[in-house]
Amino acid sequence: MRNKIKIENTFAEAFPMKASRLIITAYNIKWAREAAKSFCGFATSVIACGCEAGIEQELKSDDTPDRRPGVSVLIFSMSSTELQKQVLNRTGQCIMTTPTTSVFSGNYSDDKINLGHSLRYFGDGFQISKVVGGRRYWRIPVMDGEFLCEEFAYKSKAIGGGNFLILGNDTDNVLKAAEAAVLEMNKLKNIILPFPGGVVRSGSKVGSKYKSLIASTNSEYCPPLKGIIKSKINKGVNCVLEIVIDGLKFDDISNAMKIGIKTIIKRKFPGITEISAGNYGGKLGPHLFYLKEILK
Amino acid sequence: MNKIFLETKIVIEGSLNLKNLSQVNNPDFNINELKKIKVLYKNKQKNLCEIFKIKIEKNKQNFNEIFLQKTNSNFKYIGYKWNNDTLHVNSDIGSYVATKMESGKIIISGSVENYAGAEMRGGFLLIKKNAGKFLASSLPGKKMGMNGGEVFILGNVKDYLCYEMRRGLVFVGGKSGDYSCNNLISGTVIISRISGRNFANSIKRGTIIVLSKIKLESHFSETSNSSNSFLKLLENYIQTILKKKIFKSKHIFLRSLGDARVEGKGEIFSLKP
Repeated sequence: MRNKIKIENTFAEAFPMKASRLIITAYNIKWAREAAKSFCGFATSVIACGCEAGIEQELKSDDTPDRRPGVSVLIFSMSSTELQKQVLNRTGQCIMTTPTTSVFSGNYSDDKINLGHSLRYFGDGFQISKVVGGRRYWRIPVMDGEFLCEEFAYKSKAIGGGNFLILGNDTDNVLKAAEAAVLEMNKLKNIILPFPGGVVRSGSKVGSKYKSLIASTNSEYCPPLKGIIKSKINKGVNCVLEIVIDGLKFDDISNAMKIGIKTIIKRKFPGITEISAGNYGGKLGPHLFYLKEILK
Repeated sequence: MNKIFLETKIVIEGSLNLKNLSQVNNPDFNINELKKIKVLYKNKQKNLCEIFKIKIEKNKQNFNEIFLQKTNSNFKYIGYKWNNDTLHVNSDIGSYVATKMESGKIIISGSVENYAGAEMRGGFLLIKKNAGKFLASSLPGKKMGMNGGEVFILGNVKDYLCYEMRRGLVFVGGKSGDYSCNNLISGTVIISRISGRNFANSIKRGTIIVLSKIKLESHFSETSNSSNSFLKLLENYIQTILKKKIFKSKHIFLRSLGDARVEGKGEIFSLKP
């Protein structure tokens, strides 16, 4: 128990993913943000979106390659092929289409993802290639000037599905606690919270009674099912929200979980009774985040 | 790897061809053989140790660092086909510096003569003073100029800068002479001032940025400049190399395309009058 909140003796279970970081810049932060939001749209879960993406942080003009305001985004996927497809499609349809934007790679590794290398053909022969500092960029003419795009993005190993659950007596209290945790966690680098507002209400378990579904509702944590099935929630709990974290390294996720949970404990939100985590008995992945170890 | 110090022990009064010094770039090169490298002095073959005092120390890098001291304009072909290693030259040198250079770094504290960086394919060449004719150009009788890498000159350059250049980046901190950027095929050239005649004749593609006001011939047509992001990217990169800003906030660039006489799609950025 910490500040009257029970920390369940359990662990979050996460799985290996592939990730890439892009830096989107624009004439001003508004348009960089617009492009980033569009890029990260419909990217909450690999279950049906193909990828998970989110804004990592906003960047000042001193921190971007072309000295314009920018936003860095992280995108995660289960396979290299899917990541390549998602990065390319989303860059072409969401970033290139946004007024004044440019896009650069935000991480470097040996594994390349085609970016300008493929998008240049939109220039219909009028595209210009430029090598600056050993990196190739493509200048693609568009109606507001030109779209500057680095030739490749890069993929690296990452981890997806770090999580914790906030259990409480009603929606109001649990939402407030979740929002406060998200606010603090969003300040961290190398992680994203891919769900809307950083919070998910429809946490899932692996599999379903319906053969065609790979995931279904996390019935053990659904308050309406208390009494019908073997539930993991106590009598007074009427709302459970989950915060899911994707990160580049184990320590990034572990640190984000620690900060999120500690925020809830410190702020003593009324009605919050328990912090738990989603694990699936080893069916999902090899990365285990034990709550008690994280909070040491 | 090694730190190699070479200091002349005789006054070099005639042409000294140091093409073979690039043998040290070979990872399999036996450092004990250094003094036996053959060089041409006044058209006679000599061992390196007959010309230079040689001192060798170990360094912690995975490349050699060579320090060449007490040079003059008779030193030719320094850094020919240079790769991987870093060469520091502490005073002026002669022609053909870094010709056909492939990678690595060459840093020259003085001035150089003609054909510096000619047919260069990669690597980084920094000249802290002036350069002669045909910088980053093709060699005599050849048609392919600089084909990659970066050349930074902090002073002035003479005629035929970047003649038939194909790829790479060239920055000139001072002014350039006649026939600058003629027959440019591609690549990026940044020049502070153009003082000569016949600038950018017959350019086919490539980008030239002139940090002063210029009057272009009628075969260049003014077009819209919306390359803000690219110019800023370039500026940011050059600033990291030179540690100073090259564009001022009051700079507004005009963009012109040409040369129409050769159906060229090259672009020239120059300051708005």
